[in-house]
Amino acid sequence: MPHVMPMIKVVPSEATVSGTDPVTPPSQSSSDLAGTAEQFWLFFERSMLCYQSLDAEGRLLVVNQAWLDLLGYTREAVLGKPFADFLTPESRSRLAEQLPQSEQPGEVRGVQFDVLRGDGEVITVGFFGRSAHDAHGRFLCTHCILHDVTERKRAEQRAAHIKRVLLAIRNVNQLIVHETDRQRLIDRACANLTETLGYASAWIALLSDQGEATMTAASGFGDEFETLRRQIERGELPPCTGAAIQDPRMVTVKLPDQECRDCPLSAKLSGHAGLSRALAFGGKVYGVLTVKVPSAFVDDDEAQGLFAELVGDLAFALRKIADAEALEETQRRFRSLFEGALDGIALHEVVLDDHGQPVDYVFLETNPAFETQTGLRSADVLGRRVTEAIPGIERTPLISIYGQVALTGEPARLSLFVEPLGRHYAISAFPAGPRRFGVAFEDVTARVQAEELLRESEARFRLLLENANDAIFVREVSPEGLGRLVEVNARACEMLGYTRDELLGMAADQIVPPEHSGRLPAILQSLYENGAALFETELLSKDGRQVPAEVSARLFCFRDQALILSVTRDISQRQAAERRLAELEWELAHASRLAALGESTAGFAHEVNQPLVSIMNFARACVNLASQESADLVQIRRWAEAIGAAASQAGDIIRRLLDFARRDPPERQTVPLARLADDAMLLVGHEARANRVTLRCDRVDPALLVHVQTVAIQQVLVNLLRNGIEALANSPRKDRRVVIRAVPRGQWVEVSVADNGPGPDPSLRDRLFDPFVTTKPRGVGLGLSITKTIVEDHGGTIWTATGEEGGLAIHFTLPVGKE
Amino acid sequence: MSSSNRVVFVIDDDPNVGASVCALANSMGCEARAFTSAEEFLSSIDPSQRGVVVVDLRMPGMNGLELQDELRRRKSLLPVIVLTAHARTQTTVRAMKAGAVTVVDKPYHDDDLWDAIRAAMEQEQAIWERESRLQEIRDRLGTLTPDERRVADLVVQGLPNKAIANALNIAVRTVEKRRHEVLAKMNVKSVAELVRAFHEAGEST
Repeated sequence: MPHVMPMIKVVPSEATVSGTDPVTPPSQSSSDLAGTAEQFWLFFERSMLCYQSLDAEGRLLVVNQAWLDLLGYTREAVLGKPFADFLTPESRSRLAEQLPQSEQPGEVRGVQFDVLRGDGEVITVGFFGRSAHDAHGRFLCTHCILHDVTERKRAEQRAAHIKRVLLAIRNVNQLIVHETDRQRLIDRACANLTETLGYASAWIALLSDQGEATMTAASGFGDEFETLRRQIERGELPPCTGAAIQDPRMVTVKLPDQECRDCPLSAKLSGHAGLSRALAFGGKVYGVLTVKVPSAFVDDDEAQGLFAELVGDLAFALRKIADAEALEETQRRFRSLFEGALDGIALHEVVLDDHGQPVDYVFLETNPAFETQTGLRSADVLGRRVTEAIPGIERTPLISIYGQVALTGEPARLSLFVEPLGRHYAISAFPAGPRRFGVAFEDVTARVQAEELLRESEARFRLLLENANDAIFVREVSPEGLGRLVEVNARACEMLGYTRDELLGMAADQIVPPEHSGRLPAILQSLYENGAALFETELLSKDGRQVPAEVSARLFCFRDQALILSVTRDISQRQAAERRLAELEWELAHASRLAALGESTAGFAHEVNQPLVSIMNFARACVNLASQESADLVQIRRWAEAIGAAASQAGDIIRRLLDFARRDPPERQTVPLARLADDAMLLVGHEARANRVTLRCDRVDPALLVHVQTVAIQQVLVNLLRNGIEALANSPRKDRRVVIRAVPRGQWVEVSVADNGPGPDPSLRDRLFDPFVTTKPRGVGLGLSITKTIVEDHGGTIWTATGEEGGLAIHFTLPVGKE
Repeated sequence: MSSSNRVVFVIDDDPNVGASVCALANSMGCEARAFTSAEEFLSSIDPSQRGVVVVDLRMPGMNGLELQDELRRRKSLLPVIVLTAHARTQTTVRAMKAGAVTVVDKPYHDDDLWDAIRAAMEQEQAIWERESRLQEIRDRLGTLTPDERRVADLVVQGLPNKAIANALNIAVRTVEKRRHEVLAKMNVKSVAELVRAFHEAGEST
């Protein structure tokens, strides 16, 4: 490359012509040369490239217009001045180091200096050039082309900054993963931020929920931070921090030395900007991070974004620590709950079979109360299956219930008698992770027993009250009279046709008909005197019916209130039943009489036959006699009278037969007992003859009267005579007999029917009057039972005695009849 | 028929019925006596009494059939009429076997009892006549000497005199003499009559 530059006469441009022109024009004057020089000058002066030349002292020898344009000076202001005067202090010192080297032969490449422009702005300029020497090797000057590399340098710095910030973020991220101590976290975070050169300085203040600083950390400062720390601890937050707390977004301080004059750190921030941002996560502000960044990047979106990310990470770490602390605290509290609880608490893991069904569970952990609540020792159960630890537990539903809790995650609450432990527990079972569950339980055996007793007694009472066959009324009462109904049972509602709500509160006169209410004061009086009263009355139902009732009332006191408990029985059915029973008894007696008649058919035929036979004989005799020539009329008349007597005898028999079979309701009549005895003997006479038994009515006074249902007493006598005849049927005796006797005894007549048979089987003697007790192969055993009923219906009694010669005698009493 | 010495004995525990039967017998021209029990009747008659018995089957104490047995035991010739009410066949058969003339069911029809009494009276007459003849034969047989009786027995067997003489080792003349005595004592004219008398008397060969 020709060494032309020092010889070029630098022609000032129009703008600079008026000024001193330090550039000597080319000395060689020729038209061609002049033209060439002119061309070079133009080229030099108008070049886009900036040019400067320095002498050995570093003073500016030559600059071109581009140079002046770049740096914003006039030529006059710069020529002859040391170039160092236009550099930043840092560049100035480097130039001082560089200059001696630039005098050596060789090229200058890539040297960069920060140059102060005329308008005060600093730009970074790259220098490319070489030194010029004379033939003797003496240094003449430097020729340099200047490039404005400000933008490039800024980009490089920015990239470097971001790279450092990223590095810082990476380090901080590594830090936050495992750092659990808050102070250490922020200390090391700050150190990291400055060590990586991401930020020149950094400090963190952690804040309590009340906004007071509780902890600080800083890096990149000296004693200045101690001043600030004390200030902060007094509660005086610097403006940037305060603003950051208020505003979750980035807070920037671009000119700290102006904006933060009061801040002890402001001196350190000179030439830099501050970035403050709240360490917030999930809406909660844990503190503030403030860093010093080159002013150039304070508004850089990416840099700000990274800072925000960094802050977010740190906040997250703080949150994590807070969470961990909270968890630890919770666990600590729970542990103390667990240890100190009065309830037994145990953690279990369920054991499943091949089908996934719970079949057992293992004790993982138990609390001290577990031992007192179960009577088991924790050391004996931990790690073991419950079926081993508590044999017989499989008979309870616990394994299944707990299994469901563990498998479904649905908690369960139950109260259960655990038979193998002999205790009743109130249990809460809750899921505790996969296949695990916990149980909290309390031994409530005593309570349950007490409750059960109470419940049972109440249930029994309820059951008694509601299912009582009798209507139950509880009514308030005072000396003034009956009060309102306060309790009724279902039967009471049913009986009167009211609902329970209708009945409650009712006054007495609403359910007692007027014709009975007059008796109430007397009943009440009796209740107060005796505490109880039993009476029959009628009650008024909702539909106006009068229900006959038997009332058993009792006075008692409950909580200072006098009450009457009335157990009331609807006796309309009982009355109906009594009537029906009487009818049935009569029906039965009637049926029994018909049966007796049926058995006696042949006997009756005989009884009627006898007079018929007489009639026929006498009639034939009359005919015979009347056909003779000398008829004996006296005889004929006597026989005809005999015919009439026999016919009337037959009629009498038939009348008595019909009487006996009659079904008419019984009315008592006063009749001679002897007549009843005759009738009865007539009815069984045939049987007696068939069995060769003599029937006798012995010493019965024909004037002895009884007041009885005649047919019924005939039936009694028939039954007893027949009983005697049957007892004699197999007797070896020839003189078989049944005898009726009667003796008056005051208001009663004692009648006896005695046979001289073998007597009843001793085992049957006491049961003779029970229904269906019989010794006869074809008997149903109702005869004596009906007999007893009839006698008792007459108010009499019936008993057995030993008759003549060891036979049976049956005695009974009948009301005496008055003329 | 003479009825003056014959009596209708009526035995019934129902006195009305007894009286009516007596009335019927009286109207037939018979003497009649009523008893209310068999025992009473038995104690008041002797075996030679002639007549008929009308007895009710069922009575306290001795009943109709038992009375019949007792009469037979006493060799009474009285025919018995048993009155029953709806007698079972078995009872009837038993009564008939025991010699009852008839069994009459009460209530009987129209003249049943009257007819029965008449029939019984006739039967009684026949029995009495036969008994009388038998008694005569037995009496005549009693008059034969043992020698005559031995000859008579062989005559009845149809043996000729010579054979009888050989059998008894006596002379034919003796046989002829005793044979004559037998026919005279037995009041028979021929050997054939003698044979019939022997048969009737049950002295059959």
